[in-house]
Amino acid sequence: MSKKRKLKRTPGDIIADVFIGLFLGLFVFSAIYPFWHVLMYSISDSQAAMSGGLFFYPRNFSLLAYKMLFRTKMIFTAYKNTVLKTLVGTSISVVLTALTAYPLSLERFKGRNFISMMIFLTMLFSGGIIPTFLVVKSLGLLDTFWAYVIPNAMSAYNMFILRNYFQSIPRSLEESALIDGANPFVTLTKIIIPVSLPSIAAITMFYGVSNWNSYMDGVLYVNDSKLQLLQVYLLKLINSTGAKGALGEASDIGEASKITEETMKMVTISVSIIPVLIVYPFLQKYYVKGVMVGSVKG
Amino acid sequence: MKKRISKILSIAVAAIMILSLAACSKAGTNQQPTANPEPTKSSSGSTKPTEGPTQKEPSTISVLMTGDNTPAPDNIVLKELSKRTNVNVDMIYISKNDLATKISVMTASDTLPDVFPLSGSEAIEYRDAGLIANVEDLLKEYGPNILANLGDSLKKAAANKDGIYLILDAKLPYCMQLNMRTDWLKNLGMELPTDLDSLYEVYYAFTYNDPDKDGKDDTFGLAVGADPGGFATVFGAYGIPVARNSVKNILLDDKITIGQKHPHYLEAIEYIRKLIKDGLVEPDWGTIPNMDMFSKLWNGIAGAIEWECVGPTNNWMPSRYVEDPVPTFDFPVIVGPYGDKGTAAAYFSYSTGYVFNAKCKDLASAIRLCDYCMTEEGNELLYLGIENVMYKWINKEEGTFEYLGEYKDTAVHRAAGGYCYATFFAPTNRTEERILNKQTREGVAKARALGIDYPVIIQPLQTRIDYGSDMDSILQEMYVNLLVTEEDVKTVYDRYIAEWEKAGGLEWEKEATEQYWREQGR
Amino acid sequence: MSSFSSQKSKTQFSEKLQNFLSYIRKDFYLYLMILPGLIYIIIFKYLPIYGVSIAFKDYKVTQSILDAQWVGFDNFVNLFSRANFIRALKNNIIISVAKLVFGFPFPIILSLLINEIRKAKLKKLVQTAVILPNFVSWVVISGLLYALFSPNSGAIKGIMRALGYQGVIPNLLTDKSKFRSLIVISHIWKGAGMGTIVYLASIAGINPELYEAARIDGAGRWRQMWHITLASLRPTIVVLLIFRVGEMMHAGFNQIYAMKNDIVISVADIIDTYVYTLGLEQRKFSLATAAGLFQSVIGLVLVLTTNYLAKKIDSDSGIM
Repeated sequence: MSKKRKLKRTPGDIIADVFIGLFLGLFVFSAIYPFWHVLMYSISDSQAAMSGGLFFYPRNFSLLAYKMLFRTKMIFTAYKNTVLKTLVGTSISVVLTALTAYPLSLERFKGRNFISMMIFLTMLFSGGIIPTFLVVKSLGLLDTFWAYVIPNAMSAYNMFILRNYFQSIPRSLEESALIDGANPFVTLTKIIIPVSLPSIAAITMFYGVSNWNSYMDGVLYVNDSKLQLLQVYLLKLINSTGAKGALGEASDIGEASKITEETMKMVTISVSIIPVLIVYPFLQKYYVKGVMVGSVKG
Repeated sequence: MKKRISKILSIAVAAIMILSLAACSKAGTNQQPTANPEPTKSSSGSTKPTEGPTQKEPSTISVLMTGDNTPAPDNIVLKELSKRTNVNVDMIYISKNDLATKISVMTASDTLPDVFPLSGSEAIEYRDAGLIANVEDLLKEYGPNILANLGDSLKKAAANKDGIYLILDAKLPYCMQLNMRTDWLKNLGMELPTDLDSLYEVYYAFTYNDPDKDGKDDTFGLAVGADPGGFATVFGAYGIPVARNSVKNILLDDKITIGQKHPHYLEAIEYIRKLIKDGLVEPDWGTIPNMDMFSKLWNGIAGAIEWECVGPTNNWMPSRYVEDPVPTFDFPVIVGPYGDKGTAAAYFSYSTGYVFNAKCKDLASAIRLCDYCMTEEGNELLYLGIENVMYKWINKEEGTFEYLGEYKDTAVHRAAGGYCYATFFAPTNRTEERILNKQTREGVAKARALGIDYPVIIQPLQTRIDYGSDMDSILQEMYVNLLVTEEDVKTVYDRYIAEWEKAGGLEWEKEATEQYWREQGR
Repeated sequence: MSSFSSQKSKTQFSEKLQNFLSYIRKDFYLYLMILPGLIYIIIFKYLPIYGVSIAFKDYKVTQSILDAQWVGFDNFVNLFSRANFIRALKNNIIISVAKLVFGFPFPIILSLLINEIRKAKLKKLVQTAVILPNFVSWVVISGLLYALFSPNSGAIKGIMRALGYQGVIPNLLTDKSKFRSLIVISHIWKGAGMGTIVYLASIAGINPELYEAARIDGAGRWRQMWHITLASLRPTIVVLLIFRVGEMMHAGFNQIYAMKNDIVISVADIIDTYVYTLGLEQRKFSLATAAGLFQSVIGLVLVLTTNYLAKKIDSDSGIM
């Protein structure tokens, strides 16, 4: 093959580009539209929105539902708890996962197969909700903030993703550190982590999103409504607007009745997703560009 | 070799683990975060703040209830309730969907609150396990209102054979009924329908004769979902008792069986099929969510809906309706070919209620608290809030009132605790029904008066416990498939009924019949 | 004879212990490092594992798990004697296999395509977009599908009418013959982002020198994609495949629970949704656990088989 060829694009390349562009374009549209729909619906007037169909622009622009949402102090408590849970929980999880994944990525580490198997089995078998609850209770975590972050501190799935990535790092890198007499903690933080940022970013996002969205731990482990989580609060809020009045179980008087459950759903989805979307680009930049470049040469 | 090593390793690790576990659990309790300032462990039964039987110190009673609202933790309604009853209320308020799981883990971990809801069959199980208290004697002293509201029905509950363990729900449910737009009828020059033929004609005219006079063909006869309750009046006209989300049991040749086996069931199905086939029913019914179904009525797309009239003429009136002027409704009574009419009657439920934890430290206070909630005054507090602070009566007899100041805002009212707890030990004559408007109050009474009687079995049946969900899903599947099938209706019907009988139906019929006649004293 | 062999095994044992201790000493920090993770796994995953025993017991929440009566395989017999469970099992297998066959390769293709985008900004946009559906719950998506396909108020109807089509618009949501395809396609669409992120992270970690070397050797775009990108992804692909196979018996509870309706339930009910409805009536923990154990054991068999095959093909791959 001639060297010129890589400069000029062959017809095959062009066709491929068109195909890729078309395919990705369609996919991107279908992926973005639901968000747009949710957002536009949430700022539409409930009555006008009820007729359904697609939403490319708001119908009778109205922020009434947002006003309803932020009118009480409880939502801010719930927000604070969830933000705290996500920050603390994700930090603990990522550190714990990295500490576990690194030894398991080393071939010389005796017992790695056994421990890997042990961790993997937890993905398939679980004792169930009641025995887990009993453990949480006996550790004195019930009705404390730690019940949100400790019981789900590590996901086997994320651990294996990270371990796999660690394994793909050239051994030569690490050996150079060993010769320098560095202990594994130093190796992990100074050498392995910096070249693993794409994968660390990915699992940080997975942990962050699951912490942000978690619901059941908020219901089970905590009774104190001062510790209420955003998702628990929002679900109740969705159900409280309209549904009850409409189902004929109790009267529903005042402004709330102008907002339909559907609009409230869209509003709560918007307010719970927007923070995720704000944080996402910060993590994303780590896996857009390769970070190995400098370190491998050095 | 490798395996041996890993075995030894795991033993060593386990040893370290046990040591660190001890340290860890200690650390866990010591390093509690600032977020939990109160020393009370709300879930572990009642906790008296002070030792010793000082009478004036109010007990703290923990209560678990379900509801879909977001009251603030220390709201003024709960404080007022504590003040009036001299009992501190520690309220655990969760979504109804999470109740079963929550109660299960609380039971298994011995963290049940003092007062919590249970179903009739669960109450028997909990009673036999010694987990809930017999409050029969205490009720006589501290629960006059509970006794007055529930009377003899209390003793009828299966869990209350020797003593009183389960306090039933005192409210009477609403009945399904047909809500029809009279302004459309007027536009078309038609009268309220009285039988199935005139009902068909009205639905036909609603669909094809432009009842809203806007020149567009955008209307339908009625809005329904996949629930047979959406045609409760049609089933009722054939003598089959149907309520929201359930086809009731019937007595056929002295045997208990399902309403679907009623001799006229397939006639009712054929009638509904005709409505659907002729395009008189809003076509999204198979997948439509409840809210969207209602919106067909709110947006002036459907001219009728079968629902408890509390929705169409009270709760949704007027703010939900987009048209100006708002629609007007009446509740036609449809008499079927055999002279039947109405929908399933409203009975007290023997299958749900509240129980008291056997470990409750102060049952007397717990009962006093619940008893107060079962008064009209107590229920007003839990529904409307504090009188003259959150609301004031305009005419208490007629049930008219207004919210005051910032409490006009529903969100503020509910955050302050208004409305959220209204279902907790609600009396028969509850605030909710007292504040309905005149037309709705009459409608509710009319629907209840037209109730079709059906046999009730109080004792929970083992076959229901074992196969209930299978049997119900087969019947629900049968209903929608009968409406859409292209095959012969009778063939499909026979197939599903046979499936139902095999899935436990035959056994259930036998058990239910025996139990029914036992309860009837035969 | 016997005392001699035990003597021998004793010395063997102490030798091994010596060996083992020297390993520990040598890599003391590594063991220290993995300790917190191990403690976590043991406390929160292995301590509660005795709960699996209720699959073989007649358990009620009002008694302790240890006190519940053993009933052998009664719960399994009970489950398999229910016609609706067998139906759910069948649906489960069909849906799972379709999701695996059509859904598993999709994120790989998607990440390869995204990697081919040369403009950095565009690449970022596409990357952000593919993960978005992952943030929306199935309840919302099922609402959107309704907004699209509803025969009366749906958007498809609006578009068809605008194009002048006056005929009947089929309702995909209530069509038994198409509903499973709808489930599989929407699953692929929603789940693509998660896998894509993992693959893109792996691609970002590939040494760029490899590409440079390949280019100098005259390898074209496709050959680079095949020999470098895809080859480097192989361990990740195997690991994700093994995880996916382990979940075969779980065909997507949240999705199907949100999307099913009474008309199509006969083709859509899967084990998890069936067991959920079963539990609604009465708290049937024993039956639910039995079903869960059945799913886990099948999952384990599938995983071990896949892992074995993966190791056979390439001894470095697999999870163990």
